[in-house]
Amino acid sequence: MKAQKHVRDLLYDFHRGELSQDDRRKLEEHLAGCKRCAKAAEEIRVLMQTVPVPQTKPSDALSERYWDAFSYNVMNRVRSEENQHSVRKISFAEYLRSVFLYQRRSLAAISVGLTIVAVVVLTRQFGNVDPPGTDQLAEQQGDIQTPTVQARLDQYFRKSQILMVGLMNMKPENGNGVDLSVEQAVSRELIREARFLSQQNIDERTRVLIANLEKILIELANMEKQYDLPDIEILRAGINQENLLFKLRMGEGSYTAEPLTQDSERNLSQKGESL
Amino acid sequence: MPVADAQHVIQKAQEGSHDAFRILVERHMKQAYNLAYGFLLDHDDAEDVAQESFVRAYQSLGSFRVESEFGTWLYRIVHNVALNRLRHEKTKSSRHVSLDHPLADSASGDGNVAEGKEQQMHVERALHELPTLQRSVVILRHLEGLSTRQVSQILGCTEGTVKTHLHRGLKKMKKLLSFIHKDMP
Repeated sequence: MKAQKHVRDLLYDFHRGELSQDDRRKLEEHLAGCKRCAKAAEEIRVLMQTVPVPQTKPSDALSERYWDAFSYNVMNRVRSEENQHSVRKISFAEYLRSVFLYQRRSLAAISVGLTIVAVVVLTRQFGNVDPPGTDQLAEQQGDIQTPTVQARLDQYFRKSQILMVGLMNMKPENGNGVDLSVEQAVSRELIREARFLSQQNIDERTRVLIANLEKILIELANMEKQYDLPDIEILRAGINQENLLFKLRMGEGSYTAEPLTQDSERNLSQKGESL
Repeated sequence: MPVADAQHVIQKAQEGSHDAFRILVERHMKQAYNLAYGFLLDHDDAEDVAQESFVRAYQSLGSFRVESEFGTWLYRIVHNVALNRLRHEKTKSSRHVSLDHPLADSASGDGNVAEGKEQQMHVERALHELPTLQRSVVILRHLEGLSTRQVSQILGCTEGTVKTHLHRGLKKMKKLLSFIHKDMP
């Protein structure tokens, strides 16, 4: 014969220790005097022993850093779903933050790699300046429209490259943060230039690179004046994640070089030399 | 989190506050992941399903009644998304390893596998031999420790049905796992 149903329904909760003290006491009294129900209780106990509840959860194996990134990723997906076609500043900031938190790369290894890139870029920048007037001559000889766009593209990429290298090599001064006012001014200038260039007849690869750069530039331009290391690291993680320095380096040979003339570039170059 | 605070956070999230929704995500993300993992047995899939569930929850927040329990409502979404994923992605061999060959993919000859871990692996395999409803009940009630009432709400059935399927599921698992216990002294 089966155990009484109302008792049987309580047996699983009983063995899990989920009954109230009063219910537990009543059930124990009943089991002491009812062999059928006691047998059913024993059967449930054995079943639960056969399928033990794991002592650890799958989530326990994942670090707090992982869970930080998890919530950021969820929020980014939420925002992305909300507005798929517009680039939103905060969304990208959190994306960068999640990338930085999730991908725990060795900063030392990154620094070594970027130092090599910086040396190569700066060597080219200061060791191979074209004679003044080269581009003006080219404009006079060929089609006026196309060389102008190419020259502006080239200048845009070179400025961006110097800016990115400067950011990657920047260090806080005596723990007091860093001054990014020059970089922010240049980034605003570059954002305007990017918007002009993206409306021109350029190839898709270039358009994508401009769009990727623009995200970083917007982030930099909107950064509040608390330039501590984590903020810079977020930008660096974004630059690194998109392989922007590599892409800029690869695209460098595709365009005619043009001498840098603006004040902001001089400021940046001086910073680059001092690194 | 006190109930009043939880309700306030949900209301804020329903009004479109991302900060409030993030609080809900942070509160429930581990259990959502564990639930998804219980069904999928794969980290990447579990992560994706858990995240997708939160996105769906956000999109459906308007239909959530504040007096209900957010966790239960969310786990119902996780459960549905995970089962959909299982239906569409039946390519993971780990989900279909027969218990006739319990050590088939566990580095045969490797005697260093911890006994507890190996037993856990067998339990997971046995679990995935169960019919869907029994498996859901065993995962939600037995392994995740949700209450019978919560499980009934998640699965949309009565508490009696939950108890019945739990008993049947555990009995079947015992039978499937009997080869382990035969080896025991």
